[in-house]
Amino acid sequence: MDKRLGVQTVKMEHPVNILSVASVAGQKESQGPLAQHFDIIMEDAEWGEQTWEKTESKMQKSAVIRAVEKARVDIKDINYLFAGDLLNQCISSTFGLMDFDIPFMGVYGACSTMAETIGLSAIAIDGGFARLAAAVTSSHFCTAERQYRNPLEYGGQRTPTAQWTVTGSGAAVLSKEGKGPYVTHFTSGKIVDYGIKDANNMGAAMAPVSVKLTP
Amino acid sequence: MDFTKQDYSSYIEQKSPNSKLWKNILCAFVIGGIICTIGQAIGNIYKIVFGLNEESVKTAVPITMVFLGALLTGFNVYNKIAKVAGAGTLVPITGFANAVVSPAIEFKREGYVLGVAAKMFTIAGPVLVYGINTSIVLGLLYYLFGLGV
Repeated sequence: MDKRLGVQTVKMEHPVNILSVASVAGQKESQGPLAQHFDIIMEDAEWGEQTWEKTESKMQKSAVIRAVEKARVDIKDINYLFAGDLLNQCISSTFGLMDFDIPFMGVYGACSTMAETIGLSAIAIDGGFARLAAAVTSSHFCTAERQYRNPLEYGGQRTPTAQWTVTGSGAAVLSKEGKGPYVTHFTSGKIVDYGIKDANNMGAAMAPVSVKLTP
Repeated sequence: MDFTKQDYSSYIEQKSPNSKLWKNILCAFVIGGIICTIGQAIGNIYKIVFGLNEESVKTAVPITMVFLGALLTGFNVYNKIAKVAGAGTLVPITGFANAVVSPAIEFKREGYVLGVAAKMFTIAGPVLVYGINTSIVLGLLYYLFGLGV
């Protein structure tokens, strides 16, 4: 069966099951409309850790543990961890997931990381290379500001189009069989540059993903 | 929606809200003015109460203002004022103190040498480089052509 449906989309031979999902959210996020759907809410931005990066690692670790609990599988049975975050060398992911001792695939996809890791988990399972895979991602406002923008105490004014980085982490466990929801297709993105030069206006840079490309 | 690069830029331009120019100008003016007035008041206190001479006051006031900028940065207050003030907190010397102290605080977690000391001037660096170079150029011109420059 030809799994390729064009340039960007592939179809799973057997729909891949999403066994469980779990999420960790920060303060600002917990005040929003999705609050009751988050599994764990952090009481503050540090969450008991010495550095923001360690906090983000803790977020990823917690999200995975919670997702595995809900999936009722043995974490040792997970064949691959597809994970990523915004930082150099994806350190939040690598340090956060180190203790699980599972083959690790680091993914850098910024805001597309969750979709990308779920997609990669699905094709690994559908291709017969894994029975169980986990997709994980995270971001933290403070770690992102440190890496990409200014120190938190800096007195700079934000433009009206400047956006905030989410403080949150999500994990999904995927399996070959199950009761759904399922991943039936995976459409991968291509890199698109529509000439947005404002580094703070992340939304405008990313929106072309839903815009039809005209050369 | 079909877009060319040009169309997309114009579309974004049109959808992006502009900064509230008049509000920003007013806030910068008032708060910047308040900071400078505080500086003047401190200068007057040094002159009248402590009897410092002109030259000493000119040194003592910047030292005090930098200290206050650094202190408020440490208490995470300066950036809260700056959110409203914009240029009003950026331009005075207190803004320079904030620009040096904030990375120092932020990068302390990376150690005192490679963190605090190495990263301290990431924001203020250009100010130092171009400010010092400009003063060298002006100094040279003054030396060569006298006060007529």
